[in-house]
Amino acid sequence: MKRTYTALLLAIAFAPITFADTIVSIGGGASYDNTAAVQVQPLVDLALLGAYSWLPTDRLGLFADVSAGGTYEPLSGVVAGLLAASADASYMSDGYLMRLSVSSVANPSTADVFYSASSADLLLSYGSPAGSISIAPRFSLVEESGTTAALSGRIGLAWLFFDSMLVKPSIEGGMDVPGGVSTAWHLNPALDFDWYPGGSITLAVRAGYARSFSTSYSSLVSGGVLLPLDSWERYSLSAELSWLLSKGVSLTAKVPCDYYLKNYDAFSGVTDLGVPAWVVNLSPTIDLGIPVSEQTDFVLSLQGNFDLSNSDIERKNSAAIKAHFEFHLE
Amino acid sequence: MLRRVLVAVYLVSFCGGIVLAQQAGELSLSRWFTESQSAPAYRLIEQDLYAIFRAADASSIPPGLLINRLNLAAARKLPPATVVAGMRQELARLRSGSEILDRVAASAGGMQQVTASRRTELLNTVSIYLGGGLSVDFLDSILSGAATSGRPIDDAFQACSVVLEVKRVGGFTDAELLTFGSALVNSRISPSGYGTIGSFIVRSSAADRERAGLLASVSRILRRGGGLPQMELELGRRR
Repeated sequence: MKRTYTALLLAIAFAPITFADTIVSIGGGASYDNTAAVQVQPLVDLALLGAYSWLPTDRLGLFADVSAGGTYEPLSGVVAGLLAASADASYMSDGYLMRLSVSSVANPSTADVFYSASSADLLLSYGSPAGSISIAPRFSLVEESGTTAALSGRIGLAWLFFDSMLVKPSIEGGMDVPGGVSTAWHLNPALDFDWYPGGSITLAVRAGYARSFSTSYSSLVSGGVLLPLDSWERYSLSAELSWLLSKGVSLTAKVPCDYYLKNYDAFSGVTDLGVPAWVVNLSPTIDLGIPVSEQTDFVLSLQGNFDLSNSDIERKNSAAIKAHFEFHLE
Repeated sequence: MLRRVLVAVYLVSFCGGIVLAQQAGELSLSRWFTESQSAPAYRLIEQDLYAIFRAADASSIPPGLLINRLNLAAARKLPPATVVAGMRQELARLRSGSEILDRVAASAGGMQQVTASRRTELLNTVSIYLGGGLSVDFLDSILSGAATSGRPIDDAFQACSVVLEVKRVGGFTDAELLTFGSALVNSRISPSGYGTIGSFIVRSSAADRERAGLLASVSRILRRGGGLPQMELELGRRR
């Protein structure tokens, strides 16, 4: 047994990087935000992305993704950064799949509160080309005006119909501990439907419901009732279309739509909403990728984030148009 | 005496058959020049076309395939010089395709049983694959590999069609495409589901522009007996 482990570790240590894709992305664009002091902003951004794979054996795969980038808004002088890294190891054997992954992301910004999140995920799955069952426990730490620790688990099924339709019901539940003082529980059943008709078009639709319950209560009284901290309900529906328009030219359009009901927002500064706030959020994105040369792609992105709400503080609208050149390094 | 007559009749009919087969291309082209409304525009290149069709006859290429290409070129009103160059390229592809089918037939007995019309159909498909950018080595490897392992040749052709679709995404090496094609044809996926795997790769490439190892990872899952559910779990995280 010891020899097996030693051989495995040696195989990993000396495995060459089987595949590597390092991309330098340079671009710019403009953004609009109805809540910002300067509502229309030109922006410039630069990013370095890397994806690396090691496949020491057919059963074992090791993957790493790293990215670092920054955005500069000349009118407001705001500089925002993104640092992200993830690594995972997967082991496959005759229907079994086990994957352990760790990831970390940080968003330093001169305008906002520092945000960072780290997580460790385990995936255990058993199945065949026709279907699978999976269990995925997760632990995460989020740093943003305090630290929130979360522990969650997800059970999912996947079943393939007519060789082209993948139906994936799942249920995820867990607990969040903001600041280590209170506890919130959440439950999130969802149904995913992916359609791969063959050829160049795919369609994915996801419907989900999420509910957060807090066991801690504010000291404020609204109508004689203690309001739970940061409790909310969310109904979500999203659709994603991918289309290979012609050789190398791809279009991806996503339209997520969420309907929230919030009883109380701990971070909004409003201590008594009086009535539950509702928000309808639509955040469509369209990405068009066009190859310019063997090593260079041009990517045009349109992003929007639109809210409709009965609460003034929840109504945030923003949109951005960005264009990038992506250089794939040898 | 009777025996001599029979031998003579046999020789005349046999050699006549060969001559007729050898002239089939020229006859087809001659008929095309007589009947096609587009023909007058291509009188200038008549001799070049006859030379191409004679070369096709010598390689036993069914003339109907070349006539189809000629009709397509004429329908698009391509200039005569372009038509000659295109027809020469098509002839080269058909010759390569014919050699590939001969090698596949040599790998296993099954291909030898195909009818002439079926062989013409397969030859046309191989020519399309070559025109789409699949290499002779790739087709040799996938088609002969399937024939040797006893897989139906139609499964291998189905896999090649999916690889051709994946190749349109761009950014994949020939070695990656060969690994993927080979894993697909030897996988537990039914041939009617091959296109689904191709669509998954197209979607993953469009959603995540980092393509490093995508085909290698998909091939690994196929070799380990997995399919689309496992690919969603294993690779969906990168989107």
